[in-house]
Amino acid sequence: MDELTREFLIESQEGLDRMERCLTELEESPQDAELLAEIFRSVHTIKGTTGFLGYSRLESLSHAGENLLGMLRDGRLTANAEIISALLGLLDSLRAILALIESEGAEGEGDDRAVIERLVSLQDAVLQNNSAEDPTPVKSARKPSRKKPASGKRAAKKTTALVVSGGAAGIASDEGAQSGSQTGSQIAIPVSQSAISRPGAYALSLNREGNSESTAKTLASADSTLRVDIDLLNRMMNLVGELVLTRNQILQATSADAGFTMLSRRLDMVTADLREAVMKARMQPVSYVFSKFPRLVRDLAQQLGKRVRLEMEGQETELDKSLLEAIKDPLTHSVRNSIDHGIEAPETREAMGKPAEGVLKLRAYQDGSHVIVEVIDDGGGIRVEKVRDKAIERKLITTEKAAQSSERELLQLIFLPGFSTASAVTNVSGRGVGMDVVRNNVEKIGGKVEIESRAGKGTTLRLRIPLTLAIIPALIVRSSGQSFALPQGVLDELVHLTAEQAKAQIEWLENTPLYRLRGRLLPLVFLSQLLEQRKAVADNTGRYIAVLNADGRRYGLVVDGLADPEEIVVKPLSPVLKQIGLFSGATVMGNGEMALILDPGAVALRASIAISGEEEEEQAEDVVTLQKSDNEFLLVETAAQRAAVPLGEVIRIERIPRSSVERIGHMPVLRFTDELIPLEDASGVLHRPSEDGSQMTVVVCRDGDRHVGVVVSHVLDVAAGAPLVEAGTSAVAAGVTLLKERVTGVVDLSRIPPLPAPEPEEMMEVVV
Amino acid sequence: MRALIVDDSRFIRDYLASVLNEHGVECTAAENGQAGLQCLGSSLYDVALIDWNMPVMDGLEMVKAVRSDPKLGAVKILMVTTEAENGYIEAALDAGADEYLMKPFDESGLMEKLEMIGVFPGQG
Repeated sequence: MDELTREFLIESQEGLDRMERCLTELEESPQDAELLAEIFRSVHTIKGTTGFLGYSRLESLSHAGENLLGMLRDGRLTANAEIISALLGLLDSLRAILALIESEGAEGEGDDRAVIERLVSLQDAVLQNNSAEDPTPVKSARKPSRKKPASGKRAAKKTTALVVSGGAAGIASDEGAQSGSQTGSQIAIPVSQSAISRPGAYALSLNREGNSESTAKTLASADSTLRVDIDLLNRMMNLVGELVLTRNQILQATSADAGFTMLSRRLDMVTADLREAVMKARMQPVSYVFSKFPRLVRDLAQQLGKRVRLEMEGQETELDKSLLEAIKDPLTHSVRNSIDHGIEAPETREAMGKPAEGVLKLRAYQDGSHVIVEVIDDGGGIRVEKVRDKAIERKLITTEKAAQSSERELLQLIFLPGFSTASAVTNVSGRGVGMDVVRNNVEKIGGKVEIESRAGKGTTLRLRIPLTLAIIPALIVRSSGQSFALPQGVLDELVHLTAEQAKAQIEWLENTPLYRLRGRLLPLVFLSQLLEQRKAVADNTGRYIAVLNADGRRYGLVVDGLADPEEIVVKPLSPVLKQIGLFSGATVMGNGEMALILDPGAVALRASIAISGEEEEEQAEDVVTLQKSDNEFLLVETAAQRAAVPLGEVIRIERIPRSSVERIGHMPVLRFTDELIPLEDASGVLHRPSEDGSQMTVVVCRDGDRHVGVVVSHVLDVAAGAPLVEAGTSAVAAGVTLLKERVTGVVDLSRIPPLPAPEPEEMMEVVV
Repeated sequence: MRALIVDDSRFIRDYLASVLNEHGVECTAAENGQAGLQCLGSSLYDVALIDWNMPVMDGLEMVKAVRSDPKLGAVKILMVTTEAENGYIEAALDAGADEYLMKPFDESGLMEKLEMIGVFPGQG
């Protein structure tokens, strides 16, 4: 593609973007002369330039549009929804052809008659007697305006002057002064404000070879901005990445050499500055993505019969180009969701005492090393009960788990695959692929999605996007002699355990290793086990626990050692390594060694770590103090396991001969004072061959209205148990307690089955 | 020889400049009439090629302003635009433009019009 065609494409696309913005604004103020002039100009420019390149489809389309726009501009027609829709249709057709030219170098075959006829028919109201004369402007594309009726000429001419007076700051013509000057001299179109190019900035010398390439280059320098191919920017970013790596290596290699220190420090600074500059060059304002929404919101609202006002804030906030591309789809989906499911129909809103027009707000701002993009609607909000019921119905959560979950946790369920709260599937959203796609896409680029909602008040969806992807700070950890990089963003804290501490304080509940971090249970993942590394480090060395919080999953990653934190350059993985599913990339470290970058979310999933809401630590500690007093346990041993029985429920500890145990069916029962109680025999004492006269221990407890017996091998102690709080939540872990510094399972008395309904004879037998 | 190109389309500016450069004409470009006037005020040009429909200040307005400035009397003006009706041409010529060139045009069309108004590129 030659330089001029590319120039044409870029310019036309810019023009159409502008046109799209103006069209949606036009809906609010259909008489705005400046908007009309701007829209007219966009189409007019395309029409004016296509002739040079011989694009006849574009020319006939833009011609039809120009005629209609001319009438609007002249005030012979007033813009209404139908006209704006037709013009949007024109816009889409033009865009599609431009895309074809860009990808295939030609505008291709296509039938534009429908679009053109629609545009023409809208003019018919004004041109009733002439409409038959010019039904297919396709053929009259070259010099079409000659066919315009005389009345059109005059009116068009008048408005040309009129528009000028609106914009030319006081140099108004006589004609324009009559009617157009009320609009004032303010120029409403920001794009054209920096209109003055420096004169002579690209004056060419006479003898220079004037081929078009050098011309284009010199001409471009006249503007203060320069177009740079995105591939080049990507390459620059890669190269800067390499430079950062080399710098890291040089810093390490020269750290001992005093003569080099100054030099390497300088290299360090320059590299940092260069990195920042290149990153900045890749930044684009979010308006690039936001600008698509006025149209989308308008179309959707119309389609769904809703009234929605779009407000946008912080459009100047900048984000890396590639990230911006990546959030386009999730954001579009969220906006669709808000309009489809969030904002109610005007009647419903009015019935609820809200204004009929809903407000959808898009807000972007920078927060440290992240950019936050929020989609806020004032719609019906998400009813937590509805989410819960749906999740239970879809078997995404058990009833018990749902009962224990906080509202916030329940809300997060909408991010699960296969979840959709829409009662009816519409063609806008609600196909079952919804918020999980949004979350996946955002997490793919290292971002996070949060949702807040209040029933009846509205919903806020918050996307938290990192400023850049390519270079991230990371902690290098070692496991079985290998290095791995752990993104700093998910790292909460580091805990060092000496060999003895590791042995004593890492506790096992069934097969799950746990660590008690300030009174809260933290599930652990041993990196070497997860990766099935051969054990190279003996058990008698210390360990480190990296406390991670990945997408709401909080856990401790147990590693053998730590190295310095480094800025690492993320390199893509080969498909073979990608298949493992635990790594998000690879990098070269300062010492020249390779390291794989761990994906903490994937690690948590692989290790089946459950989602736990983030709660303030203080809250968790409050709970601990509150419940400490009423937690005394009888510590017993059943077979080889320790168990705790709540002391308050214990009535007696009976030492009885085994022969006194009787059975109803298969259930062992015991006569206690004058009633029959069921026996729980978890340790299987009763199944072991018995010697005559051997004794056994039964702990008789109260469980509600009944009494039950627990067969134990030994009674160890009575101790105050500290309730264990599950790490990350304020919920007391069910079924476990902390006794004598060890995590101990609590016997659940209610699970001891009741006595079988006795048949009278058996009952008699026993009683007798 | 020096030319001022006034057009809001970057494509047209580049296209005109590339053609004129081949004929040894030194080019400056402006995005609208107001910017064009500033260029004319700060440097000497043999010819101005002016588009009609531009934001801020359109071509007709600019022609009128140029012609009302006695210092700029020597500058030849070629209106370049798609507006083809007689009314437009008349208005442009009335305002003081020397000739009229319709889009789309090719190299020979442009050269022909320039020669018609006494501008001979390549002759220094």
